Amino acid sequence: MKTLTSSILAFCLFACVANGASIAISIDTADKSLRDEINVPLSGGNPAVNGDGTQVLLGYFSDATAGNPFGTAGLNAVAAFTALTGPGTPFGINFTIGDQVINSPSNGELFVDSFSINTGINDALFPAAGTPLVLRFFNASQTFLVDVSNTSGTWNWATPNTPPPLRTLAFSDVGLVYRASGSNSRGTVSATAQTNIQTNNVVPEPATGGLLALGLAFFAARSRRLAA
Amino acid sequence: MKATFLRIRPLATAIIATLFLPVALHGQTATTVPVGFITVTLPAAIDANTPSSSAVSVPLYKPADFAGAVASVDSTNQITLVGAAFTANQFASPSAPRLVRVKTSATASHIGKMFVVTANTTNQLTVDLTGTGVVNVGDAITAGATPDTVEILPANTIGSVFGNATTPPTLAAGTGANTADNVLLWNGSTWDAYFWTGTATTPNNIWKRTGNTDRANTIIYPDDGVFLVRRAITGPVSITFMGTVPSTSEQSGIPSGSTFLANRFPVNTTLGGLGLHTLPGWTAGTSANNADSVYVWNTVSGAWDAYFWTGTATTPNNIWKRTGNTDRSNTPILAGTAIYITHAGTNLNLTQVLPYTP
Repeated sequence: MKTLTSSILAFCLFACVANGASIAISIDTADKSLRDEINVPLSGGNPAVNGDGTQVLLGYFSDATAGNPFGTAGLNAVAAFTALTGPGTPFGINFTIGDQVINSPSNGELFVDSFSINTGINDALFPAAGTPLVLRFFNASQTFLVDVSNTSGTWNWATPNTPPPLRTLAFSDVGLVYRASGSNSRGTVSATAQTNIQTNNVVPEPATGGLLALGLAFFAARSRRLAA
Repeated sequence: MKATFLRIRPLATAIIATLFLPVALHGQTATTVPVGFITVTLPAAIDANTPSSSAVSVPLYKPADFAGAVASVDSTNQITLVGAAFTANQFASPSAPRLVRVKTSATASHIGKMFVVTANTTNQLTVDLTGTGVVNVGDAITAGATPDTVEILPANTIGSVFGNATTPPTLAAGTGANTADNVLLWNGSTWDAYFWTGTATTPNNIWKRTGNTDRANTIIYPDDGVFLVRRAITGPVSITFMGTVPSTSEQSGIPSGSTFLANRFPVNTTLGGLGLHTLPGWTAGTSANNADSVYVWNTVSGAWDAYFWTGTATTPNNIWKRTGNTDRSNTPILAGTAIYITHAGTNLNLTQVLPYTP
């Protein structure tokens, strides 16, 4: 069976056999559909092939706090993001939208039953215990990204150990928060089934909406005066 | 952390219902099978963010569908049975997985070997060798003048052990693994977390891992431990496992890497009594970092205690060590519990003889 597990196992052959400590992580986008900036579900690629969908990274912000998983510097903190998975990371773990082990998720979905990040490879990359983990999703051209995390503590990094602690990153969790590039939007994902992570359709904050309405009213009044 | 405990009824109490069951439905062997139960009690979570955990085993089997002698070994993964009159693939339903297990053999190492049945004809079984350490079923089951006898029995599954829509689980349901109680199975390299969705979550009344597939038929292999995480703050709750008591020696694979191993019998044993240190290939050392290690769940501290065998080259030698120089060989491994093992080197096989008279 061509599975994510097999590809991960191939990467961690050495580490998994050794007695080193590890942390076990699973990811479940549940009933959420992850969509890009034009509301198209992120591509999962060929349903029979893992690793060919749009890129997903697991990582963290070094300046994150329990209440603010994306760091204190807002979008400017993007540079502080440390990836634990994905191309080029030393742990050799990579997964993309549409990856699966048993059932075949649709576009916009990701089910990773579990994988291990082991010590002894590049422990300096590990965050401090309690740091919220962040999932970063890209669009097909990797020009647009969404960060998703959780403020409830259930997504927090745990010190690798033997046997490994388990962290389940589920989009059904209470406390889910997201942020999208191209805007300064930040909000809470609705628990409603099939709710998109609508980074392109974020409702303007009341202050912004008010200013917009005021501006429109000004121009309308000005147009009426000119017409008269 | 609040003290946790796991209450196990001793075998003498557990086997209160010793019944005489006709195991051989097709007329091969009439045997008596003691039936019993074992109860584990899961303490409530300390609070919403501090679940309680328990390392559990299910050392009981479901009553066998068939028992009989092996007529022939037909291929690397097929055997034919004497006196069988099966319906094609009656033992190959994914919703009711079956195991074939060696009951008697002239070769002691065969007894207790077990395989998942993937197909059957009227008298032939096809088995899955994946993960068994066996490359040819003939290495574990033999026919001939004194043939092995085997039994076919329903596998324990998450749904059959912990509940289903008809008999809802005692474990708390939830919308996700971070809110529901969890059943964790070790897949060889990491934990797989399962939870019951209950009636309030869509899809409802399924055992979920990821996605919306019902995982109720996931097999809990007899040598696999189960790690239960209770997040509900109400409790404690008790779960009773029922089934037939093991009546032969048992075989457990200990592959290179990590294993979550069940205590195979419904009686207490000890760390030394398991005999892991006597296995050729078991690595002794000076610490848990360089030796094969056994991790026992400490219900008081809510953490794992690591033990390793010192061997002959370390002082004090030939003891099970944790901290200090005290021999921890008498550390209890309670009935209904499981231990986590890390082992480097070649795959090992642990044979445990029956510790009681059935």
